[in-house]
Amino acid sequence: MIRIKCPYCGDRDHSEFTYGGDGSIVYPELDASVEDWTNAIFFRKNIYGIQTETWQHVHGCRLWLKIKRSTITHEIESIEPAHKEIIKMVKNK
Amino acid sequence: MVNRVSALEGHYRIGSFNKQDDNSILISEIKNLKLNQLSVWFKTLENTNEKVEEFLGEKGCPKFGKSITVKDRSVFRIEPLKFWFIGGDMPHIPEDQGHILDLSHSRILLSISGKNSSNFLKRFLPIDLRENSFPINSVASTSFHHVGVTICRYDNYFGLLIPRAFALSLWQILIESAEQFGYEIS
Amino acid sequence: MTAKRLITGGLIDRSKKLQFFWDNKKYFGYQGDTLASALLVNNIKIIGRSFKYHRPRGIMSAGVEESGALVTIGKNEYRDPNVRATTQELYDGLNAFSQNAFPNAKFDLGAINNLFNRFFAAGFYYKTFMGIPPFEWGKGTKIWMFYENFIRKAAGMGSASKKPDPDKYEHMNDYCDVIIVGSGPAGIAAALEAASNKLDVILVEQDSDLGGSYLSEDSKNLKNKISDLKNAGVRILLRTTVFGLYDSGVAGLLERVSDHKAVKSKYEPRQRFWTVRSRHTIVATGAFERHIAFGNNDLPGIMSASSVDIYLNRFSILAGKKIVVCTNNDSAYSTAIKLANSGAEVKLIDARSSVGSVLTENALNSGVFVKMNAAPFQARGYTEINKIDLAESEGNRWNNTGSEECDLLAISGGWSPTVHLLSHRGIRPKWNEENACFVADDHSEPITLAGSAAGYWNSEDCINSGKSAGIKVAHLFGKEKSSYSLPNIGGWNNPIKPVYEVRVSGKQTKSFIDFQHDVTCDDIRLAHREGFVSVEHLKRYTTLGMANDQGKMGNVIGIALMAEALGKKISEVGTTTFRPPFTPVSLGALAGRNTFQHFRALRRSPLHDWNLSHGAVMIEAGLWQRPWYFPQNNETLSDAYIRETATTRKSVGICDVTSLGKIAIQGPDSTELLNRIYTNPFAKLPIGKARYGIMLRDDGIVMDDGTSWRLSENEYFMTTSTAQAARVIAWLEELLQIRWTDLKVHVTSVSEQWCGISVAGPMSRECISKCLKSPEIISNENLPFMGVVETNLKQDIPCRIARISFSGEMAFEIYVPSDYANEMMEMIWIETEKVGGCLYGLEALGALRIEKGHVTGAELDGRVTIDDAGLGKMASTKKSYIGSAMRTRGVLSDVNREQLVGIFPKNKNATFDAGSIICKPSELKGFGVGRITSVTHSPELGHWIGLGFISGGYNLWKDKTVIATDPVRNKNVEVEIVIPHMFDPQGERMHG
Repeated sequence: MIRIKCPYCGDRDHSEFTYGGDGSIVYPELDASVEDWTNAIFFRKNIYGIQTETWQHVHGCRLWLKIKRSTITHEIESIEPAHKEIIKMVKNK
Repeated sequence: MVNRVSALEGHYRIGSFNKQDDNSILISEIKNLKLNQLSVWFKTLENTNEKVEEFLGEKGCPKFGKSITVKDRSVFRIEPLKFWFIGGDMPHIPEDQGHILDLSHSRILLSISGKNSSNFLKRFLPIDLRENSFPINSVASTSFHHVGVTICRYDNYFGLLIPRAFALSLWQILIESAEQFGYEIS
Repeated sequence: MTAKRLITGGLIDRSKKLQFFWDNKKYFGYQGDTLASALLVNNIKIIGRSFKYHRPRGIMSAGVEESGALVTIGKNEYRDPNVRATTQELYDGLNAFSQNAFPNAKFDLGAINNLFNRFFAAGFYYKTFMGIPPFEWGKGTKIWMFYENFIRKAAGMGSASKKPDPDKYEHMNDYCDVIIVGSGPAGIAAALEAASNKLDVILVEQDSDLGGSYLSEDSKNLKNKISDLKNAGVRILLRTTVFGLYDSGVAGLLERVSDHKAVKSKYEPRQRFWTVRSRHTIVATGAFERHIAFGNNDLPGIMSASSVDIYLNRFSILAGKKIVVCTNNDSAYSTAIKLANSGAEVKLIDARSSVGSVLTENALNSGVFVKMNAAPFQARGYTEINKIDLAESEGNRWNNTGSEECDLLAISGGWSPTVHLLSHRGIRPKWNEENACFVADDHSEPITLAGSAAGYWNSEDCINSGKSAGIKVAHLFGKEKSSYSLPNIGGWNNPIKPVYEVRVSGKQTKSFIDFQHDVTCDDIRLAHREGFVSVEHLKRYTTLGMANDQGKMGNVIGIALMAEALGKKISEVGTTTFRPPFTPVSLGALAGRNTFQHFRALRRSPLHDWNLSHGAVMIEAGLWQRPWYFPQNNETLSDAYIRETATTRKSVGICDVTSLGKIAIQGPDSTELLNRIYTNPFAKLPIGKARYGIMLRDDGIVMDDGTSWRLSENEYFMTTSTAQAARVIAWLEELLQIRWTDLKVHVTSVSEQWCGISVAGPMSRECISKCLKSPEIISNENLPFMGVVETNLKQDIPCRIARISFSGEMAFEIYVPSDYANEMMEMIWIETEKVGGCLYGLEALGALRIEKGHVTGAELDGRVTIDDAGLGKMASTKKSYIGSAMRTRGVLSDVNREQLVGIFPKNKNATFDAGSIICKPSELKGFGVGRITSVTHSPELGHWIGLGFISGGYNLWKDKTVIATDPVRNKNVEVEIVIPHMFDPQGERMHG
């Protein structure tokens, strides 16, 4: 059981969340080339250290989050909402 | 106008069970729920204050994870940009300010009270319900048996909103767990 | 051993006499006894038999480290095997049985194993049963499989009931600032200190009473402390074990609610599994006393010294008349003195050459006979001890020297702090030379050790360390408080002399380290000789520490012997990792109430009961149950769905489609969002129209299909397949929050808000009109194909109606708010019955859509592109959308890809199965050339049909015969390939 601090809801059990995917992906434009899309969605770095992941707080506020986590210790380094405007809102709450 | 039929119809038996004086859990379904969701935009968030005032008679905009309650009406802050108006008809709002979505049939609302209610809810809800952490007018969406539910602490009871299709299943678990305390359904 | 109960003293309640049954014979004990203390005072010496050699086992301890007295409690479906008699509270009517013995523990036929013990040394099964030369030279498994039957029957200790567990269990969640494990002197001090700083404290005690070592000492002091705890508002959990520590300050606890009750409350669970989340954990779990390895040290009548002390002080039982106490450290002295003062003849044998005079004098003054420089070498007796042979130390050697008669032998070989919980967090134990024990290494977890668990041996140090732990935690939480200092660990007046094994050269003895798995000192040396020298291999090769007690008493001895064999220091050998659970946890507790119908929550359509009362047989669809078919008059599944399909095409049928995903999409950019995710154009969808759409994944593969209805300028109602509903809404939220953050759209699930039915067939419009307030609303002009309208049924029931057809018939989907579902259904059912219509379920729904060649998740299985599915025309060439860039890349454009086709049997009476592989007649092997995904009987065509995919598609295989093969069921059927739209290919019936 790990506890994840949702920026909106506070500390919650991991069972309220689902893992999304690689949070470091920069998605190309919809009309970009096959090469660009292939690089974005198929080629991953196998990181020894901190990686960025997306998670969603499905049984909570439904926020999508960017979480930086260590692949060595599994500890979470930082969590913030994926949406920039929400980051601002959370800071001012 | 036809009557609404609750998800617990046929399974909701009024009465007490294994009653143990003031130990019992008091459960009741608040039928014919009125629940409307208001979704606003970042720039129109402030306008919510007016709508809340229209609805409750009191100005305010519930903060994250909070509710404002006046008599039997409340406004929950469910997500950063979504509010639930519970207990009355929704005031109109121009579309450029926000969208209204009627969710009155999507949930059942249970009221759970009694001195053991917190202790009882700890059996299912994995969140911190201690009074200091979850004071009156706190709202949280969490999971109950892998189903998303929403709980609010009112003055002297908890309101638990359960998705309608899962209502009976979760009701059965609630009742079974309440047996050891004794319960009363009204 | 001749044990007796003293007249006064102890914490038992002499006014409450209890009867219990041991192997069906009646005995008596008192309230406050454990089963072990009751057996002890009744002089039952042999409690069980060891795992391998079936040697007799008695009571060895007074706690969870018990390795000998493992019993079965209860009968029939309540039977609970491998229970430690030392932790089972006695209650009136308790039924306990010896186990792992036949006919009983006292006279066990299994003891014959002991005669052959030479062949059962560590690792014996790796070496034996490998084949009998010259028939099998060490290879092949036939011989092994033969012996396995016998080994399997002999393996294990107690046996579990095969009946369903009759007890209930439940889960609990809780939160606190500090959780304190253990309520001995250190734990209580920590709790009081933390609570005085207004911290929220949970104090957890595995025993039935608070106090830990206080329970065998001064009871008035304890009473005061307990009321202090209660006044300070400390939350207390008794009979609760913290069995594991996990990430993020989460602890797993097991509370034994009724295992000690003679009469259980009907509604109480038997046990509770708690998940407690705290900000800091204080571990005050004490230390385990070690034994010493010497000859026959497993004989009944040999116990740890501290447990003899506990039986004396807590249970008021003098466990022997002639007691020999062997020790290598100071702690056993006070025990020896107390035993002598209670009337036993006590001889204290100290392995050290000398100790401080105070210690010796006190012992002598109490009448204890003291002998220094000696240790136990071999225990004598057949099924219980009657004599102990001693050995004198001479440098590094031991020499045989005399013996002492005894009926009870109490051993203290040192103390091991109980650091298991820290090991759960990856904190390695570190060897402390001076105290001859493992202590916890430095770490950065939110955990603080206190008391003997931290390596403090004397009471005052324990209490101080507990208090300091409380202060430290208060500091961490920013509460102002005085400073704290920690004493040095240790605290004996005289140093311990490490003694792990007593061996006299030239004398062969069987000295046990692990009493359950019968692991001996020789086994350790055997493992070393065979190269299994790492502590991890040592454990698994010898099975040391792998039984019920998980090595609590003996692991350190094994490690010390391996170190000796390797010529290394103990610190270099290290330990294996302790993992949860600390003590066994029942599976029932972990399951809680999530069993049988509550294993998963059942998701019911608002029409669930209505469907059932109208004869529906249900089938699972994820968490939903959906009507499968509605059998009438003893129909089979086949009869029913064929009738339902035919009736729907001839007249009208109603199907509950509530389980489909439904999403409300609101906002000025809603149209833009839909246009970006669907392959087909949505930018110009008029208000009041619905459109079928297909969504792709980023990689170009089809994700889901569904419909979206435009309700107004900025509002849509999207439907998805049942299986993908949750995934699609999460996908939309992801797109809006991560990629397209500038779009002003809100999405919300409304799956629960609406109940949906599909009304299909030539009479559908007529039936629905009769239910509408204004029937003309759904006329062909007012509601053309794919039209949408929001209106009211009779009785003012609001509804949404879309003229959508999945079945290929003229059809409508009607949605009403869920609480009105029954009323709506009653209304429409009356009309349907009037025209000879029917209810239809998932099977008929399948038949209808397969006839039409409409794809579902059976076809769209995550490998299929929109072209494979024959829907390439839906892929717009005028816009970009999710997946548009990738959907024709390389392999996805290969002409040999398997494409959607229809399949007919050549012989119109034959059938074939979904999942069959389509092969060329000459090549019935491998992956073939295609696959069959859906099958049904077609009432319209009068024979079996299927949908599937074949390499190259229809044009390549029309007029050719291929084989539908099912290699699992050995079935091959000749089939022909047709276009997938096998019925009404022009779609005339929908558009009527």
